[in-house]
Amino acid sequence: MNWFLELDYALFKAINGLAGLNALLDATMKGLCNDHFVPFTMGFLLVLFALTGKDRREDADRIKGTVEVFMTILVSSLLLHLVTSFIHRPRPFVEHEVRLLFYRPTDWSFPSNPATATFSFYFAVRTYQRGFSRLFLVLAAAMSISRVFCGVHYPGDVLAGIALAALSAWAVRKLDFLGKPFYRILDYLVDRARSRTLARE
Amino acid sequence: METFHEDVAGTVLFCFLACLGSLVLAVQAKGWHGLCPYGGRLRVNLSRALAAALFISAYALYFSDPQHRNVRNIEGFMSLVSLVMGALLALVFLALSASISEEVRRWLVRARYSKLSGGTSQTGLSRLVVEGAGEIMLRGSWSVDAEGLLVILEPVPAARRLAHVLASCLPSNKDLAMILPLPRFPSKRNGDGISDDFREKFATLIDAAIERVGVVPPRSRLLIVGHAFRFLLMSPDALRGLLEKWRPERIVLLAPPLENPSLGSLADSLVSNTPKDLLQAFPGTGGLPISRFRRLIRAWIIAFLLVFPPALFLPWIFRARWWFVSGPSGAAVVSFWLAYHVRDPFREGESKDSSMARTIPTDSFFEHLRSVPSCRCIMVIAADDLGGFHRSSNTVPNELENIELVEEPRLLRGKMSTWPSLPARLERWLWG
Repeated sequence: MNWFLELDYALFKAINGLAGLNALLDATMKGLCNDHFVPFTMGFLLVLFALTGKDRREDADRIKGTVEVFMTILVSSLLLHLVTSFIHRPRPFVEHEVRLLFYRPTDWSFPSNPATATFSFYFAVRTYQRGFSRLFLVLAAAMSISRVFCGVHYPGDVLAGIALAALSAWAVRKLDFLGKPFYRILDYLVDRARSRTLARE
Repeated sequence: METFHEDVAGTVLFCFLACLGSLVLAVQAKGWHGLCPYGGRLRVNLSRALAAALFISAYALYFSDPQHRNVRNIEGFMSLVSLVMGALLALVFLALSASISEEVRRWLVRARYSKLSGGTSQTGLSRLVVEGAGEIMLRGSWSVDAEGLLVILEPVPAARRLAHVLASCLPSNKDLAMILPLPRFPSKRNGDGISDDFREKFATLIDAAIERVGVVPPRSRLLIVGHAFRFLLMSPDALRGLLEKWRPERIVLLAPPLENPSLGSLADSLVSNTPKDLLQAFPGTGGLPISRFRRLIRAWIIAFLLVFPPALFLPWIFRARWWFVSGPSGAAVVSFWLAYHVRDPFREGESKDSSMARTIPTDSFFEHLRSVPSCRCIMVIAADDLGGFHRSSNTVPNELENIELVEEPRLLRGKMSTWPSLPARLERWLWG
């Protein structure tokens, strides 16, 4: 286990060591590291994703994908709380001298909460729209790197977050009954609300 | 103790503005003119500029506050709630702005046409009410030498507005008769969505109009507006009577629906109808089949009452932040999930609609049209149907050479009266 922690710290030092060398890079990373910037941007993109299918079939797929994003976030959050109740890894700035560009979060470091949440978007959407999911991947990766760069997470925390997100997305897809009530109703409302309606100006 | 700077209102505002930007882009991408925030037709550049302005102002407003940059703000759950609330508010705002701006445009159009017709709202139409069937509006002498036009309007209350616009904008030297069927959708439905009673009433109304006109001039024209074409197809007696007795020299099918609206989606109807139009039409036509969901709703209420106390209590004893929001909303979601699995409304299978044809069978109309050999027919296809029309090229039989197809991508069935080119185009199609 020690070799992993040493490797993790060495990687952390290499990435965090770049902080403070370039003001523009620091500002960019601080922006990406923000608790709300990337997650909300992904949320707004999700609204766009949900509504821009090319035909009825793709519309239905995208509704399902959007519901799966929410379900994946829910499941991954539950798993994350489960893990943090057993593994208590302090933040890097508690144990080491780091170049901290962010406020000092008080919760446990392992696994990374932002990485889990943002990669949940990527893994849930990936099945339905590869193109759109790449956008989520870029944003999720950028936020994860920035968290290490700013000194609030180890790379191992991020990797664990990614693993949790992937596991949750897989479980949600396999356990179809978790999201079915929501996407079936949404799909029905969108597809059938017009039924029998004759609306004119 | 960790310090939080919790600005829920600011976060909801941020989400509202940015989601509005996303919705404007989605509306543009889908071509939902009915949700056009500035009314009328969607304009690509204007929509993109509006969306960009909304995104920029959302991010600038939110992140210009130092308390939103490097300070701990609301946590995950409330962020999710803010996003959902912002998206819902944006949707409501977009629906309101689309409806209001379109109403303003319609009011302006009415004022303009009223000015054209001598500053009054009178269009010289006399009304004849046919009890239980609808009404007939007439203008002119209807002599043998006259050039008469019979207009069959859609069976919706708002068609009256289009009738007045047509009466104002069509040449005053042409005689005009307009049929406005009553918007009656009896509860007993057939596969095509209308009852036998409606068919009979429709035929009665057409007979009454022909009788009232008296002598049908030989150079008469027939204009069938929007969904009236569908109702004619579903009422063969009315259609036969119309073509045999009226024997028009020219028929213009203005924006006939080519895809079965009973199988369409809400998105389809948003191509040209504003949310206000849809809400007005919804109750009169039966709306959503609530009976299908009655058992689910009942189960949801019971499950909610059972789940609510623990859902409120658990976050409270764990001292979760915003427990009074997370508790009830969590209870609502979990109880719905439980209720769905107990009372699945789709377990009994989908309705019989799957056996219905997606396209409207127009063949019968063209079959009847053979009885008027000298008649020229122009079918003007609106933006609402162009996509479907291109997908299925068999809508109009090719052997009928006298059918002229006009694709009019600027014409929207739900926004016909505010289309500035309508008077000139109608004159060309009818008498040109």
